[in-house]
Amino acid sequence: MAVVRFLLALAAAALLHLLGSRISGHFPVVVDLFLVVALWAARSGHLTAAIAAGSAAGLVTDALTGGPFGLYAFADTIVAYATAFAARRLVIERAFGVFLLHAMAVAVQQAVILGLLRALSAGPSLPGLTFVGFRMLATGALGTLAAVGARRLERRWGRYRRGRRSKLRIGS
Amino acid sequence: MTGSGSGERRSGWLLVLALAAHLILLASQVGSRSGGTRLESWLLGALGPIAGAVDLTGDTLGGVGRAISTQGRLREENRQLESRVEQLERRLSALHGVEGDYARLAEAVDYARGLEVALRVADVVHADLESGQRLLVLRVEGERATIDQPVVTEQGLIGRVVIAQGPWAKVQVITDSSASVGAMIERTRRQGLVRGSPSGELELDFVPLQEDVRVGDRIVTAGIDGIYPRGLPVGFVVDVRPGEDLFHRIRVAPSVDFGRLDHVYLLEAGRVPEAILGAEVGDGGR
Repeated sequence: MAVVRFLLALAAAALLHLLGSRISGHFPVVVDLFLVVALWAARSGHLTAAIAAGSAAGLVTDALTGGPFGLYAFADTIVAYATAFAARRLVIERAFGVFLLHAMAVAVQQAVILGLLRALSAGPSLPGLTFVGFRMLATGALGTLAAVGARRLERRWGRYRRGRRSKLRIGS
Repeated sequence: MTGSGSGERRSGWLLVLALAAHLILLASQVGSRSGGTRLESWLLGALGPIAGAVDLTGDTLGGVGRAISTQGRLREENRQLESRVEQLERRLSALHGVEGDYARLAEAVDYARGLEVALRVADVVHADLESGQRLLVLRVEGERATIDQPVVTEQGLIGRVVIAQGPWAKVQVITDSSASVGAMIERTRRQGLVRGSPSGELELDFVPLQEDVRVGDRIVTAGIDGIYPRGLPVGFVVDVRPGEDLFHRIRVAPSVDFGRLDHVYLLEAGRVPEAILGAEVGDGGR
C-alpha cells in the first residue's frame, strides 16, 4: 500500500513538474517536487524505504532534467537516508520543523550535486546562491503545505472510516 | 536496541550499495557519446506520454483562449501574410534559376556537393531551459529519432538528440553547459568551438588573438564535428575581449529564441560514417 501511495505521489509530482515547467521556465529551477515526495516517504523513519524512495525520486528527476543521469539519484538517496535517520530520533511534526527539514534537504542536495559535478567534469555549472536560496524557500514551503495537507487528509479519512464503521454497526 | 542497531547497520550497507550503483551509472557516462543508459531511455518512454498529455492540454486550452482574444488581429495578420507569400513566391522562382545555374556549374567542375539534408518536424513537449543542463523532450511522428541527430528551427541550431525511446527523444540544447559545436565565423571562415555556459550564453573558443572578430559577426556550424552539417546558424557575436592563452574571449548570443519553441525540425542528414571518423591516420589503403 505504501509503495502504491509513493508511486502515485511520484506520478503526481511528475505531472505538476511538467505543468509548472509549461507555465514558467523558472519552475523546475526553484521547486523540487520529487525531493518533497522522497522526504515525505523518508519521514516515516524506515531507512530501507528511504533509500528506495530517494533513488526512485532522483532517477525521475534525472530523466526530466539534463546533465549526467544518476546525479539527482545519488544526492536524493543521501538526503532521504539522512532524513529517515533523523526521523528515528526526532519527532518532526511542527510546520516550522518540516519547513526547516525541506530547506536543509535542498541545501544538502545542491552541495552533493555541486561536489559530484566538480568530480565529474572540469567546468561544472555552479548554481547561484540566490537560486539555492529560492529553491530552499519554495521547496520548504511546498513541503510544509504537502505535509500539513496530508496529515489533515489522513485525519479526515480516519474520521470518515470510524463514522462508517459505527453506522454499519447500527445497521447490523 | 540491538535489533534496531543491526537494522541500521544493514541499511547502512544498503545505502553504500545504492550509492555505488549510482556512481557506476554516472561514471559509465563520462566521456561517452552513446545514447544514455537503458534505464534513462525506459524512464523517458514512461514519462513521455505524461509530458505529451500536458503539452496537448496546454495547447488546446491556450489555443481556445488565444483564438477568442485575437480574432481581429489574426485576420489582419493573415492579409499581411498572403501578400508576403506572394512576394516570396516571386523570389523563389528567381532562386530556382540561380539553383539551376549552380547545379550546372558544380557539374562542370565536378564538385562533390555537401550532404543532402531533409527535415522532419517534431513537437516540443517539455523544455528545461533554466537550469545549467538544458534539454528538450520531443515527440517525433513516424520513424524514431537517431542518436546525435541535429535539431534545428527556422532561426538556427537547437542541439542534438541524446536519447531516443519510441516516439520520444531527449535533446541536448547547445546552451547546455556540457554541449559543444564545431563552428566558424561566417565572414572570415575562421573555425573554433562553440560551448554552452551556465548563464545560457554561448562562447566561441580557440579563435587566435590576431584574428579579426567583430561584434555582430554571424557564427555558423563548420561541419567539422561529424554531427552538424556546415552552414547552420548558431548565433552572432555580442562581445569580444582578449582572453588567456593567445585566444579571443568571444561571447555569442544564440540565433534561436529558446523561450518560444513549440516545434522543431530533425535534420535527416547523411552522417559521416563512424569507420571514417574513428579511422587512424595511415589506415588508408590497408
